[in-house]
Amino acid sequence: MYFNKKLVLSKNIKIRKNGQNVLVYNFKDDLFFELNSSAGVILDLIDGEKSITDIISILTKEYNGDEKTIKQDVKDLFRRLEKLKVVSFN
Amino acid sequence: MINSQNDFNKLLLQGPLQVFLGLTYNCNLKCPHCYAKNKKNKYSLTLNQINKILQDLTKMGVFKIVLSHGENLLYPHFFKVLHNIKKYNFNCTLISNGCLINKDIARKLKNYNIDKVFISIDSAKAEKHDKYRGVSGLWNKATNALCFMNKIGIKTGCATTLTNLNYQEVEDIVNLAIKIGCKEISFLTLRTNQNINLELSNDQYRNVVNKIIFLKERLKNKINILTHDPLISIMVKNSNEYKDIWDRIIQENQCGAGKYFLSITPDGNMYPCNLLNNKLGNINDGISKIWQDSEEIKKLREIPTKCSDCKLVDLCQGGCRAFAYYKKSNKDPRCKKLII
Repeated sequence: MYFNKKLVLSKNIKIRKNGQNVLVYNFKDDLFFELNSSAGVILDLIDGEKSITDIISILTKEYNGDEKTIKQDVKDLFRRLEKLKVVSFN
Repeated sequence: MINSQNDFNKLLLQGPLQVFLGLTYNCNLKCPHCYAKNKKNKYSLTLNQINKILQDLTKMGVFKIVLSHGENLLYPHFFKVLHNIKKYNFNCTLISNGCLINKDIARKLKNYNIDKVFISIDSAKAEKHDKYRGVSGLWNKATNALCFMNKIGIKTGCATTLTNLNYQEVEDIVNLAIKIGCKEISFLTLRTNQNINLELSNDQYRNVVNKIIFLKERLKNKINILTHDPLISIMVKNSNEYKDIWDRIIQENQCGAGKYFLSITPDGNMYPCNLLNNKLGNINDGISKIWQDSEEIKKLREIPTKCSDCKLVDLCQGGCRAFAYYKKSNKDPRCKKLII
């Protein structure tokens, strides 16, 4: 996992949203899974330009939260999203 | 932050993720295990009906359409429909017996951007496949079809229904699929309420499932081996040896009937999946309305009452609803017999 590389959403996914909850379908592997609202917010921040570090910084400012906790949560999420081939690094 | 797909919720109430759509029940074969054989050659959807279905499914946020039920390549406007499916941006898989896919049709499928094609293969031996399906030369046509498509870069898979005629040759069938260049092989559990003497005994089924899961792990870098039976996750011996693929085994075998799968048949009727005969309604009643309001479909989304106290229910979710339906049971009647 790369903290400073740009994050990109995979071309092999389709997304369904309802409020902030998100359903992701990886049609290459035929797998789908649901993201909760926190993960949905983070997914919205992926624009091909931001890195994990950028996202942690935005979330820390936006939610005035503990950086260490936010960093851990974001790291865990992206580790799983990378494993599920939802995101990759540019 | 990532939830499992077990809980039915607002996101799924919007619409199924995958729809099995049959354009026609026409078929050029007479396979004994076919779930649609009583309806063969009887119905086809019109182009207008299909376009209305595609519009409705788009509004519902459906991701994927699997063309199944009959031999859809016999539908006279097949490529017009495929064009429309892709125009609406659906992922599309075709299930076919392969006998109409020559080089030209393969190229056409590629040009129309089909995402995946599954071809039925019952045996690694030509004569056995042909005898079973009642058409001489079919195995050659089916395997050639796979070769044509693989050569031009269409993602393909073999679809094999497990019966007492082929369960001993699963490894040979997997090796054949690899040799041909398939990326996937899908082993289907026979589900039928017809007495066709092809069913496996419980011991045979348990053994073949364990063999398939062993091959799935061993060959995971060569081919994706799929199974589709919610009880498989409680039948696998030594599951700790399959740590790398365990999440996938559970997910691939979840029953999606009425939760994230919907089946629309060539007569316009709607069912929770291809193998369940409990009609939910007709497309004329409104696909979205039935998906959201049908009492029948709501029942399928609940864990069977008899399973609610079972410690394994998180794995199997109450098992396959088709087996329960055929045996007029609330839960999958195979559970106690197959559990290890």
